Amino acid sequence: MLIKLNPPSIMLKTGSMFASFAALALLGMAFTAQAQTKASFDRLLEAVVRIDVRETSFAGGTTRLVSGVGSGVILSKDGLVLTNAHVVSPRAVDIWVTLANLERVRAELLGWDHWTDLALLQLDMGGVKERRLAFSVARFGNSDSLKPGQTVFAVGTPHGLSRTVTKGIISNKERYYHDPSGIRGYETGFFNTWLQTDAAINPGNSGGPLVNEAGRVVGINTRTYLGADNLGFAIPEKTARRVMQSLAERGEVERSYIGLSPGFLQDLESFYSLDVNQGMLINSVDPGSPAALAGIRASDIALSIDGRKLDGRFPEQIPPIRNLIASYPVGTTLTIEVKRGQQVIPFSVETERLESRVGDEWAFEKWGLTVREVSRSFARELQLSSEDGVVVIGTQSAFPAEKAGLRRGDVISKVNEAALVGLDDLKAIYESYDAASEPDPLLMETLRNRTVSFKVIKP
Amino acid sequence: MTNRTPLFLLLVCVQAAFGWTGAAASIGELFAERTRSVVVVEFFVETEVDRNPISVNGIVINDEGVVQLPASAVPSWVPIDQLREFKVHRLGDSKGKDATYLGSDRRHGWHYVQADESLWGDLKPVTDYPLATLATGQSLWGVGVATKDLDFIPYFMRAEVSTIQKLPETIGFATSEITSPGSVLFTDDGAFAGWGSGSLNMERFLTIEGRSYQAFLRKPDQTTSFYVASELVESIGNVPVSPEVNDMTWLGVVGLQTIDDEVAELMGLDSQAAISISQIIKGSPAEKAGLQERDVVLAVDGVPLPRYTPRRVVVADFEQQIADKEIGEEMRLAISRGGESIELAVTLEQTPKLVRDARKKYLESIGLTVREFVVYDNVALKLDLELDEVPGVIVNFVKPNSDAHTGGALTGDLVKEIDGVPVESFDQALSLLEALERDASKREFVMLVARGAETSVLRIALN
Repeated sequence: MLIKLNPPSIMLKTGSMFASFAALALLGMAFTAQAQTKASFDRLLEAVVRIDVRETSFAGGTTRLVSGVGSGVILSKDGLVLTNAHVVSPRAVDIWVTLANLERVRAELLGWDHWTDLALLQLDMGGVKERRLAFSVARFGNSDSLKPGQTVFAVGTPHGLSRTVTKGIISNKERYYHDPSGIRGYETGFFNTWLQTDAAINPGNSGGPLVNEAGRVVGINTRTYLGADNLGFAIPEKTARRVMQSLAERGEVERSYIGLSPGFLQDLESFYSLDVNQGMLINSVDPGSPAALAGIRASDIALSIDGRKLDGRFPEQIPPIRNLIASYPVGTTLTIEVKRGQQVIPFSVETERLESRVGDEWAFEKWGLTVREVSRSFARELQLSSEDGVVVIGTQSAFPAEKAGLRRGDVISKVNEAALVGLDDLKAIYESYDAASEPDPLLMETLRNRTVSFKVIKP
Repeated sequence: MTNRTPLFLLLVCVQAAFGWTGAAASIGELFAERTRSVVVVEFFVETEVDRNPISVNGIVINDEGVVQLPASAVPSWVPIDQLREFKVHRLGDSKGKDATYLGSDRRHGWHYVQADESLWGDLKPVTDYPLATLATGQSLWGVGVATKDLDFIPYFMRAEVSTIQKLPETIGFATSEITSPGSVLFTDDGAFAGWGSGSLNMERFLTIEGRSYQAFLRKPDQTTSFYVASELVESIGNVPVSPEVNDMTWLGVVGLQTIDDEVAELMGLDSQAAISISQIIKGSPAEKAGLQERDVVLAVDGVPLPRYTPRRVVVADFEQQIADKEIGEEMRLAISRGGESIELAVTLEQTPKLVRDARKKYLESIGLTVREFVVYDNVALKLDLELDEVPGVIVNFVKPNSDAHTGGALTGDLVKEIDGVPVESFDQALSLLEALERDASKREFVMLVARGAETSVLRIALN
């Protein structure tokens, strides 16, 4: 072993002056590059922040404040901080950002996109200027040019610890992963693949940057596999940069929806007698969606959208196709060419605005009841006959709603024989109940897995 | 004392009739004789790849060795042809004798098994004994049944009547465990007092290594509750003509819910018991008679629904009333619909094919069992179809690591298309699948299945 590590000096024996010079020159260049890299990396470190959030939760039949901690990265001179949607949500009541110099600054939420798990904050620049605080600004790198095996660093404040750097490599640059209710019930991961890294990512790292050796941001650290070692996931720069721009401009990312659930063809090309590298299997079509109304059916093969050929053979290829559909302006009429049996049929599908399955939430404090509006996609998921009504998300012990027998998951469809269209109807009923000194009991009709029950709310 | 006299006289008469030696047989003698009325029935449920053994106590109900078992002895969805190798054991005897399954009673779901003729002489029907009239605090004794490794030996148990409740069957509760589920209990003078039902869950707090857990514990071999004999004997012995017969009546309503007191008050129903109907199956007698979803049932054949404690027991009472009718018989229902009172007459029909009776076929080389679509599936899958609509076939079983399993098939999937051909009937689906199995050149096929609100295209590679 020792001999191998310290070989007899062959270099000296065969070496020439030239070789020595060349080696020295190379060494010098490397030093310069290293110095640059170090400066750039230091600048990145100064741009990573800790984020403390307090937000409203409607989970337990009343409004409560919950607090959390995450990481973020400053990406503009005017104080834009990119973080995860699961770190800061629209329910945030106050947001504090701890800069690299340990000074704390207030921030507010500019935009939120649970689909890619990204949120954009604006630092209170008035406060920053007044207190003459300084921070540096990180720069995006390029996630497309990453190579598996390349060294990367995760920077953040895991478990609220001060700035922590962990080192790893890119394990996979196109990990496919989506979760229909991953962010407190909100969908995530449908429109992007993920960077996978073995750099240690812990709770509190969320929202911090994944950077290359030059300190350029190539991803936003988001999640890890629980129960696994070193399987961390980051949103690639390519997605983050685009979403950040949209959040800065509009506060949201508007996407188109047509109601197709893609499957992957993997080895089925010959079965469907398809040209190699073309086609996307349609696994499911949401009932009542634009695609369903146009006549597209499950087990059809989509060949192209507006003339763009689709290649959906492997799971990794699905998010880009979903993203292609989503990126058309809402209301666009798409021509989808579909193969059904031996026929190729063009369908015209007008896109709708993509909505989340999670509706608005509210607390009715005197009833000890928290509810969420039934969204179109939630109604579809539960096979409800309509999207009217609200769903119970929490009740408080010994309060009227709990005493009446309402439970999490019950859909309140009627109050006093009148159909409840949405949350606003229930708010109006609550207001008059709240205003009365001796309110009349209310008769609520609820649905639970198609079973109708009646419940009485009284003081 | 006055009301004891007739019972005493009855007892003397019965004893005289059976030629007992003394007026007051000892408990020991009574015990020895009455253990001959209890047997242990063993059988197994055979599935595609497994055998699940079942052992259950039952009571002898006649001189021809017919044994009545609790409803829970056989899960309701298990087809009769999957019940195998019935054996009857006398208590204290590990050697079982062959027995035949006779079917189940449509009203209570009791199952019947007939012991081999060679055993008949050793058994004693419970109907031979006088019936007890029970009073709170009365002392009773029961026959406990030991486990198989102890040769099912009978053992003596004693407790007192704690309370008696209508649920809607009359159920007695003892102060402590008094018999084994499916075994019997008696009064001190030997009168038949009850038949052990399943034991109740008891809430307990467990502390394990300093951590506290809330747990519900239930003894599998001993119980405190029992069917009261005086009522039970009325329903004993409704043995069907054959196990396959389906004489169950059908109304066609789903999701029956008790209207609780506060809701009843708000609806102006006074102290009336009432049941709301969540769903009406299309094409059912209920739909034909004009029943609607959210109708509230107040009375059957002019008799208001009785009030029980707990209130929800009224649902079982109503279901019992449906079961007690004959196919084609009329049932008059008093309904409240949006505050309006309506009277409707429903003609009950035969229950549509049950899951248990649905046709099915195990395709061994693919590794899945397909089953005929029945009304139950229509409800469970929330499809709201007409009675005769067939949207596909049901995957009833997927063999682990088979081609079907590898391809992603799941038990409960509704198969809508096979290789692009829409499924229209069980026979057609079966012939498609059997053709696939036979075709050696076929390397893979595709099934479109529905799961909840979504569908999935499964590719099944044939190896």
